[in-house]
Amino acid sequence: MAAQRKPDQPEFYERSTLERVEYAPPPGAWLRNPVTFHAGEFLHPAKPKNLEALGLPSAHAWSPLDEDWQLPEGWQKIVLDGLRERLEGSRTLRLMMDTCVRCGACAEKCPFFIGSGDPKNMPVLRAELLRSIYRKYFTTSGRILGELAGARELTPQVIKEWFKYFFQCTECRRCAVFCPYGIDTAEFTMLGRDLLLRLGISANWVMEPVANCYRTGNHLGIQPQGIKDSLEFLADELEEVTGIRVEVPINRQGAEILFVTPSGDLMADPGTYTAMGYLALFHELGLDYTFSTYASEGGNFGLFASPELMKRLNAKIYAEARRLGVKWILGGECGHMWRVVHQYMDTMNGPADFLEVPTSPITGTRFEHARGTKMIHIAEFTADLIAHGRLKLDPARNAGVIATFHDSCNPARAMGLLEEPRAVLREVCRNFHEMAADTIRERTLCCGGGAGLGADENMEVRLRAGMGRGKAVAQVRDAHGVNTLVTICAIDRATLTTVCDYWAPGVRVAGLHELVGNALVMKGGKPRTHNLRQEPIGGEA
Amino acid sequence: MGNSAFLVGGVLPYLAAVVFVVGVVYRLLTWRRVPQPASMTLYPTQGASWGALVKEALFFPSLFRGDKTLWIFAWSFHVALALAFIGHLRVATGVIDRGLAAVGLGAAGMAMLSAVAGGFAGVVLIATVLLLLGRRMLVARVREISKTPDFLALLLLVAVITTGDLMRFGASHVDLAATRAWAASLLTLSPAVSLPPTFLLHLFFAQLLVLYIAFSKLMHFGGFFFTFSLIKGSQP
Ligand code: HEM
Ligand code: SF4
Ligand code: SF4
Repeated sequence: MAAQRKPDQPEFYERSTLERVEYAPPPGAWLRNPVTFHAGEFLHPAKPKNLEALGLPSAHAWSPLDEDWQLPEGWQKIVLDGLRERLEGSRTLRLMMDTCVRCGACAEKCPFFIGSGDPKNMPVLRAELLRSIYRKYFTTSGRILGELAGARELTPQVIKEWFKYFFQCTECRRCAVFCPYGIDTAEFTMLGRDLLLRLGISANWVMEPVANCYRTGNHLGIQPQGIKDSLEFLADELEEVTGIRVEVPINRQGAEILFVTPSGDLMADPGTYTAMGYLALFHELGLDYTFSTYASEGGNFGLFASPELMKRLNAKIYAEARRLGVKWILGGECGHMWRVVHQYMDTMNGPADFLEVPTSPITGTRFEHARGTKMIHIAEFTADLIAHGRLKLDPARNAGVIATFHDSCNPARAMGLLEEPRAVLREVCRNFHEMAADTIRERTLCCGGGAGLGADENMEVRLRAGMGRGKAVAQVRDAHGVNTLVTICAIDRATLTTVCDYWAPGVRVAGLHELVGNALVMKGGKPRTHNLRQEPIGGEA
Repeated sequence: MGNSAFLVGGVLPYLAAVVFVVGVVYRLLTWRRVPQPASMTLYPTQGASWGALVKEALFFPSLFRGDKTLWIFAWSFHVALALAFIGHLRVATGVIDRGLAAVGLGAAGMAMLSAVAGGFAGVVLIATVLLLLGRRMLVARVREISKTPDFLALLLLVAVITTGDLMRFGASHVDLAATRAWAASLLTLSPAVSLPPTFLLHLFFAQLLVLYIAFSKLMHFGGFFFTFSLIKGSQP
C-alpha cells in the first residue's frame, strides 16, 4: 500500500521519520553548502500564464529540479536594482539588514526549524541568505572584505537557495517576537520573494490566486454568479438547520456595512460552516450590510508575492466601499488579510476619509483603533456584542464540542487580537482548554501552510512545520479530550485540518463563527436538533 | 616617548574619535533618511510608550522571553559594560571624584567603591565575554550562524578586557593622575604620552574596538532605538 503513496500525500510520510529531527548542522559552512531539492519539499513553479495575466516580466517555464533555471538576461542587475529600490524605500528593512547581532535567540523559534532542523530555516540564517548579498553590494566592509565580512557573490545558486527557503517560511513572525530588536524575518521573506518574482521565479500556489483575484476579485476565480450561487446554497443549508430563511444581500448600494471575507469560506468545508455562522448572525442582528462580488476576497496573496501586487488586490476593497456608498467595512475571519489591512491598507490605498470610523449599529461602540483603516475584524465585532449582552446564546448546542483555540499568526502578532476571540468562544462553548503556553497567544506556532505554502506538493514541509502545533493539539486532546480546534483564519481551516489529521487525529477544525452560529438563539424557526454541519447536537465527531 | 607609544596615545585617539563620531552619525543618518511608508505592528501592538522602550533597553525583556541563558550572559555583560564605562570616565577626568566627594565620600571610600564596583565589572565582563564566545564556539546552531565578524567583535573585547583586568588586578596599578594629565593634554591638542605599557596596550585594543563599531553589528545600540519605535508598534 505505502508504496503507492506519493510525496504529496500525508500518508506517504512515516510519523517516526518526521519526528526524528536532526538539529546538528551538517558539516561545512552554510554559505558554501549547495542547495538541493527533493519531491515533497518544494512548490510548483508559477505558470507563465499567471504571470502574464498580471503583466509581470520574465514569465518562463522552469523547474526547481532543472540545473538551469533560465534566468532572464541581466538577472543580476534586476535583482540588485530591485534590492536597492527596496532599501531606499523602507527604513525597517535597512535597519533589519544592519542591526542583527546574530545572537541566535530567534533560531529555535521558527516552526520550520523546529520541524526540519535545517540550519537555513533558522530565521537568522534565512535573513542572512539575503543579508550576505546586501553586504557584498551595498556595504563598504562587504565590498572590501568579502566573505570575511559575511558577504558573498550573487550566483544562480543563491537564487535557488532563496526559492527554497523563502518558500519555507509562512511569514508568521514568531521569530520577531523573540528577537531583542524585533527583527522580522518575514520582511526578508517578502523581500526575497519580491526579488525572485522580478526574475519570473515564484510559486504557482501564490501566483494563481493572485492572477485569479486580479481578474475576478477572488482567489478561487469565482465569477459573480458563482458567488451568488454559493451564498444562496449556504442560505439553503442554514434553513435546513434553523428553519429560517436568511437574506443574502449582494452588491447592495447604500448598505451601511461592506462585509469582506476570504472566498475560501464560501466554497470549501469547514469554512462554509463559518460562513453560515455569519449569515445567521447578521440576519439575527438585522444588520444593514452587503457582500460584494467585486471585492469578493478578504485574503490577499499579493502579500506573498510583492508590495505592488498586494496593493493592486487590496485596492478593490476601498474602491467597492466607495462605489456602494457604505459607511465602514467589516472583515471576516482571516489571518494574513489582517496584516495587509492593519499594517498597509491605510497608507497604501488610503486615506479612506470617505468612510466613517466603524461604529457598531447594535451597541454604539466606536472602534477608535480602526480610525485609519475603517475596517474591523468580526471577532472584535462579536466580542463587543457579547460584552453588551446583545446576543442570546445557548452554549448547550455546542455541548459535544471540547474546544481549544489556535491563535492565527497575524491577528495575534500584528493586531494583538488575543482576548476577543477567547471571550466569544467562552460564551458559545462551555468546554475550552488552552494549549501549552509557549504555543499560543503572541507565541503561537503557525499552521505550516500559510503565505502560499498550503499546496499538496510540498506536503513534507507542511507536516514538518505543523509538527509543533500538531503536537500541542494532541497534548490537549489526550489531557482534556479536546475534539475541536477553533481558529479565526480561513487558511488555518484548510491547512490545520491536514495537520490535525496527521499529528492529532480525532481533532477537527472549526471557525469561531461556526460555533457562534450553532449557539445563536434566533427568533422564529424551529428547535435546533442539528448543528451547522447537520450532525445531531451532542453527537459531534 | 617612543614612536609607537605616541601613535597609540597621541594619534590614534583623534583618529578613533573622528571615525567613531562620523561613522556613527553617518549610519544613523542613513537610517533616518530612508522613508517608512507603512507602519509596522508587532506584539504588543499597543505598547507605544517611552516606558516600554526604556524597559527594553535596561532589561532586555524580549530576549528574556526567548532565551533565558543568553539573557543572563548578554544582560550581565551589558550591565558590566555600562559600569565599566562609567568607571572609565574617572580615568580621564576628576569630575566624578569631585561629585562623589561632594556627597561625602572620602579618598578611602572612593578607592573602596572603585575596587568593588570596578572589580566586579572587571570580573563579570571577562566571564560573560568568555561565555558568549564559548557559546558561539560550542553550541552547534550558534556556531553555524557565527561568522568572522561575530568572533572579531568578541575577540577584540577579550583583548580589551584582559589588558584592563591586568591593570586592575595585576601588580602595577595605574596612576590616575598620569592618565588624567594625558587626557587633558589630548584635549588641548598637545598630547603628552607618558604612560605605562600595559595601559598603552589596553588603550590600543580599546581604540581598535571603537574604530570597529561604526562598521559592524556593534551599531545595534543605535539600531535598537529605531527598530523598537518602528517595529514594536511604538512611536515615542
Ligand atoms: C540598548 C539596547 C541593547 C540591546 C537590546 C543589546 C543586545 C545585545 C545582544 C542580544 C547581544 C548579543 C550577545 C551575543 O553576541 O550573543 C549584544 C552584544 C553586544 N553588545 Fe549589545 N545591546 C544593547 C546596547 C549595547 C550598547 C549601548 C553597547 C555599547 C557599545 C553594546 C555592546 C555590545 C557588545 C560589544 C556586544 C558583543 C558583540 C558580540 O557578541 O559579538 N550593546 N547586545
Ligand atoms: S534574535 Fe534578532 S538579533 Fe538575534 S540572531 Fe535573531 S534576528 Fe538577529
Ligand atoms: S516568519 Fe515564521 S516561518 Fe518565517 S522565519 Fe520567522 S518564525 Fe520562521
